[in-house]
Amino acid sequence: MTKDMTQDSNTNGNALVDIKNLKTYFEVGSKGIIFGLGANRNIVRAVDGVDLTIREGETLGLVGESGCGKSTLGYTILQLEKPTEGKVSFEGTDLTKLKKNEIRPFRKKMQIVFQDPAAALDPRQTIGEAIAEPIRTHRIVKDDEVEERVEELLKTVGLNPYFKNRYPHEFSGGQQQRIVIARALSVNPTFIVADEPISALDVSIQAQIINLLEELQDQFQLTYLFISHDLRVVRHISDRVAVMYLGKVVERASTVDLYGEPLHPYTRALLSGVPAPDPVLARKRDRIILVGDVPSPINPPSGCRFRTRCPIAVEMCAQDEPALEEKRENHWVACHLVEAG
Amino acid sequence: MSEPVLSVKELETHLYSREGTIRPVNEVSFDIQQGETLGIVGESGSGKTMTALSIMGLIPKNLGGVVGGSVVLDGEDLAQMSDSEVRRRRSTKMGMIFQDPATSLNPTMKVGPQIAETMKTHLGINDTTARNRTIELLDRVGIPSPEGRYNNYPFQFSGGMRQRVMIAIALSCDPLLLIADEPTTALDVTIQAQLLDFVREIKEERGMSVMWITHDLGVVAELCDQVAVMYAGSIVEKASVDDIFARPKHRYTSMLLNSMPSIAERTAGRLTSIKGLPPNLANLREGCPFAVRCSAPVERCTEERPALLPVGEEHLAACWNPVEDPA
Repeated sequence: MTKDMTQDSNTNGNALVDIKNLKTYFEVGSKGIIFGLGANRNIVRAVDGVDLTIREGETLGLVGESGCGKSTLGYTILQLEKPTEGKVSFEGTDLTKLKKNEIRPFRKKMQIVFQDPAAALDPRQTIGEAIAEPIRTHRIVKDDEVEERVEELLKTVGLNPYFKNRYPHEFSGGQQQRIVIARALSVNPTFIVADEPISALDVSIQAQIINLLEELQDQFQLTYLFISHDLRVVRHISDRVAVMYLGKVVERASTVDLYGEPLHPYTRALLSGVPAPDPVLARKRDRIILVGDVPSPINPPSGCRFRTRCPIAVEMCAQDEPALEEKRENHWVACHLVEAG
Repeated sequence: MSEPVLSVKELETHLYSREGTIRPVNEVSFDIQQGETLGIVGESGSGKTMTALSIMGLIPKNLGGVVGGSVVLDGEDLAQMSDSEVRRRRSTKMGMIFQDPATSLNPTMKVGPQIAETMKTHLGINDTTARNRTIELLDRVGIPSPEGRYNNYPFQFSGGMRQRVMIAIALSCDPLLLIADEPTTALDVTIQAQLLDFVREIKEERGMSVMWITHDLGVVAELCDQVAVMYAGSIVEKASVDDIFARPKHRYTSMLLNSMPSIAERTAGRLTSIKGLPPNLANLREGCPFAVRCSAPVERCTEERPALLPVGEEHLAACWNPVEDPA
């Protein structure tokens, strides 16, 4: 299955994950001394009303600046964070309604690969043990077959099975990420959230891990939510892309449409900010330089959240919050100034 | 051509570790002309940061030090100077910015006085002048309401703003050369774009030379005039930015360029990856250090280390089997 053939994946494929009006808020600030007296509570709206569908077998790229809520969205889908409101359906079951023991069977279907593999592995556990643990917990294979399964998984991710008795520190960053991926695969998941899986790796190693993720997707029919701030890699790996800004999805389209015709001014600025590895192009292209930093999610701007940095904002943007609307076929944008067409 | 601002010749730095002597900087030579930006590209462990630290005389004495070569900055050889003499050259002749501005600033000291301190030490100006100049600088590097921000602590600034403060410190004594070690790596793309734009502007304005260390070839294409690619402690290719991207000669450079997915179009199929890992500097084999990962090694590669030799006009590469020019 090549990526180019699936460029129309918007219109087909069943929803594996269906997110409706998802909100995840965190409370920060002092709790007050007695009975909440003098409490100075603030609410961080990390994810603030997101609707998103992830289809079986696709890779959905999720991009945005740090602090825009993309990781929190990933964690909330996996129920590693409790949502404040809204629902997350996985294969038709609303995970937010499940009790702790009811959610367990779903845990093995959904896995996560984190940014920093060194932090994701226990330094005092051999890598074989790290991979065997979820297999035992979820009783994936009989006890006497665990070792064999571990060796098979190491081979699958391109490591020598002979390494299983070694400790994480004996491996390089790229190899550690392979181990984390093997551990995620150990329970035969259908859905993997990859949260910046290559950001901590060397440039020459990044392509290795991207290729591995793509090969595994073909081999095991995996569905990915690929969270990244690297717009080059997202373009390569994703079938569809969602752009987040301050807890909201501001644009959503197939990769071809989003990169071919970015409509939201934020998406345009993001794409124009990516340094192109082409000095000739770099000299003549117009850059959209955004002013200032991302505002605090504790107190987001009124109306459109992007208006404080938007190069084309008008008065209306401060009053009404734009809804995510289908401005082109299967191309959703939350901006007052983008005409439907 | 006039005298280069910085001329590094056969710089050699050793570090002492349990595994033996490591040579993170191995006969590194390059020049930076006035107003020119040299990009130093490489992966972690390739020696780019150690090269910068060697130039600035900042290698901790207990770990090792520069053992050979010369570093001529504005006509003076820093490698022959005492620590205190080099120290005087830092700030006044070369400014530095690092990857993580949070750890480069003193967290317990207000931002304004941190900048003013540098000027008072090196320029011998009084408190009031230093304060006024600091506010001017903060304004120049794009900090909103600089007078109010003068008395803020570093934690009250965002990552991008802290990096601007670092630039203000680096520029405070009007250096000839700015050495920047991955200053945008920890920042978001939009903030990185702001900062690159600002550096281009300030460079133009002051005619300053820049040595920009990065692993991001995109940043190199955006900012640099000349490029040096480092691998395992040595420069393996050096050319103008146009030549590096259009006609890479060293196999490592060309593989690195090919392994990057493009932003302008979708890269079809699998990415071209470089197999294996960067080498362990304590345990380098004979021959070319890249040979084991190379796509087109020849017999000689494992026997003899290639020297950095001309492969084109103003184009050097250390490769026994360089990439042919596209026809």
